[in-house]
Amino acid sequence: MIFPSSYSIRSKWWPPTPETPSTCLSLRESQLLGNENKDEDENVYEFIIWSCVGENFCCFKAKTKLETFCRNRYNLSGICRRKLCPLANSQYATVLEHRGKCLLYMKTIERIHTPNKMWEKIVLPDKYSDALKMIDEKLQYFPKMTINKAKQRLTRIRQYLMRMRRMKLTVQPKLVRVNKKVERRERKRENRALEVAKIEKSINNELVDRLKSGLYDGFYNFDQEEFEQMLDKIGAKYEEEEEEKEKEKTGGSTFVIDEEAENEMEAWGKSPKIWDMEDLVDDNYDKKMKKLKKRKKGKPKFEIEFEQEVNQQQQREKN
Amino acid sequence: MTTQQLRPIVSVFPIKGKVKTIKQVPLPSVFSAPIRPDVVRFVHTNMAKNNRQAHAVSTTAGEQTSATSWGTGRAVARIPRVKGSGTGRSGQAAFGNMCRGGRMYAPKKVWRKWHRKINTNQKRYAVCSAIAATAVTPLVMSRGHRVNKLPELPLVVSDQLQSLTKTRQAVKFLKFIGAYRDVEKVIRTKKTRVGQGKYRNRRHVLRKGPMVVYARNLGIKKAFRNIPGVETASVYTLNLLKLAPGSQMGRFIIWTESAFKLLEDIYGSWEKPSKFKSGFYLPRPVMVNTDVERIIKSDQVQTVLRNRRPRSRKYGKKIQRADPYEDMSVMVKLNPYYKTKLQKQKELDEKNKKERKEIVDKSRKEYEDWLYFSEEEEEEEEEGSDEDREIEVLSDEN
Repeated sequence: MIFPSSYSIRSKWWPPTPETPSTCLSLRESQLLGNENKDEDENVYEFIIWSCVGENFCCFKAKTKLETFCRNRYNLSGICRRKLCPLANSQYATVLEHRGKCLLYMKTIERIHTPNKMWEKIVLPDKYSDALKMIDEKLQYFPKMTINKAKQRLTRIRQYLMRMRRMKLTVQPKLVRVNKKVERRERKRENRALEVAKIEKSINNELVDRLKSGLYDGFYNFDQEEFEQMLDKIGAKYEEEEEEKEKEKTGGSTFVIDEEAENEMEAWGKSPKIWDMEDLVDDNYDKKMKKLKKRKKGKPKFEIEFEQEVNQQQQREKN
Repeated sequence: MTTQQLRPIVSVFPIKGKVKTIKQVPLPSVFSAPIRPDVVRFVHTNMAKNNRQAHAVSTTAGEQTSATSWGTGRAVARIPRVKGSGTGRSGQAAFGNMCRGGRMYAPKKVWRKWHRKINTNQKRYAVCSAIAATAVTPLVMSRGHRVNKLPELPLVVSDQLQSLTKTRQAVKFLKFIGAYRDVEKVIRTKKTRVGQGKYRNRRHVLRKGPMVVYARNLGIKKAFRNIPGVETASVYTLNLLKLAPGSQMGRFIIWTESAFKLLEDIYGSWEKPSKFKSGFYLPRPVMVNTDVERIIKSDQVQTVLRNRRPRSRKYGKKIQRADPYEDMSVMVKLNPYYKTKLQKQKELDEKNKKERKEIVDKSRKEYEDWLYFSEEEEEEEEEGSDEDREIEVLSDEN
């Protein structure tokens, strides 16, 4: 294979330059591995630890089907690998975040025997570019992979810090559980309460009372046509009923007990639809009214006209 | 680690006051013994069998029947069946390991080999490895001990510790030195045992906390006895099962000063034999320099090796090349004729296009002409056609 000299090749291993001896690891490889700066003993030390920790049990190792993770706080990228293990590397560095500040943690073999002071903590500057420069400066003699990973980690930390700050300014929706049972129960109770309250009835009563109290005297504007129509209707009915009433009266007078009156008053409130003049024009109408009068002092007398108004009002409410 | 000629120095700490070095002691040679997880595993697995108690199944279990096989011809399996009648048991299968109420397969016997002999030297090797591992911070951490707050590893403390009598004092000391975090871990993770050990007097499971090694017991044993997770041991009788629980090296050990110094005498060194183990020298590593990479890269080795053979392309790394069909410059470098080829092709295309166009235009024109002049032509054609027919008729006749 003939390769023209100006051909742009992505791989940096080919063609072999005279610098790299053919039998050794290439210079670049050794740089990547970072073995240049290490002592003989250091390598041995790391080797021993990795053979105990990496292959056998390590309390920080978390195995899944696809990947082995490292739970160690100081791991650069959370994966259990020889070059990333904070235990098996005598020279190690990480970037960790504490209360919004990014810190560069560095470990060297000289301090391994004093766990108290093993990690040298350096506060990274707030400015991103300055922080990167500081990492470059402090990790000068560390393997290139460590530097790259540290920078990546710094970037990621800064990103999530920014996001946190942004989120604090907005109102976050609070997710609340939906307890089906509770919801169902509450809904049923609401419906029941609604029924029991008998709102329509109470509204009815309230309005009736107000009308009786005379609030609406002279207030209500009725449609002239409708009003006349109603008048005609009511007038005709009333005439009929008056006759009946007279007949009944001659038959015998029945007196109403308080309870009955109350019940009938309720009946008025309950079902306004079934309101007919027949219902209204009772034998004991006067008596009932008297009772009502007694209940509410200072209320004006009732007239036939009043009934019409009430009836119409109810109809309007219906509508 | 493997060939340490220099003997580093270890600080001795007080048991109260300030966490400061009051003295410095040389590191005993044991801590430079080779760390061999394989040896430790082997010895541990065998040692752990030594505290077993014999158990077995009753010799008569499943055999207390006079069952006989019914033989063939009865449309049942030939397994021995219980004799007699009048009970549910009669006719049921017996004796086999597959039978209900039968004897198990290979009933356990008391004369099973419960204990294991391990060569004394191997045992000592393992213990030396385990002790050496207790000084390696990453190994202690990997075992799960919380040692982040310790002033030093190995942790050596003044002999006053041996005279402690009260548990309160012991706890105070542990907190002072930074070892209490490990104890807290033990307390926090105390659980009821999973399984039947629960009701066999092994109800709770605890983690292993720090181990305190002393030279003389002047009360220390009782002081630390009740603290969960903490174990005490005499230097003279260090147990591998405690030094490497679960055959995992790196127990967190707190040494008293005298105990620490005694290690040199108990385990000796490579030059001087042990005073307490007759004829025992510290184990030598198989390889003095285990850094294989370094050895390979060294001049002594490199000069002797032959040249590296060129990598076979077949199984080699795939080289990322620029795609010539995407990048024109790359294509041209590979095949300089390509440019002219393209040009030629272009010219050809244009030429063909032109020709084609001409033809198409021509035919279109003809068609249009035919369309527009068709009315006139029709009349003419009709006449023409009559004439033609006449001529044809004539011809036919002829």
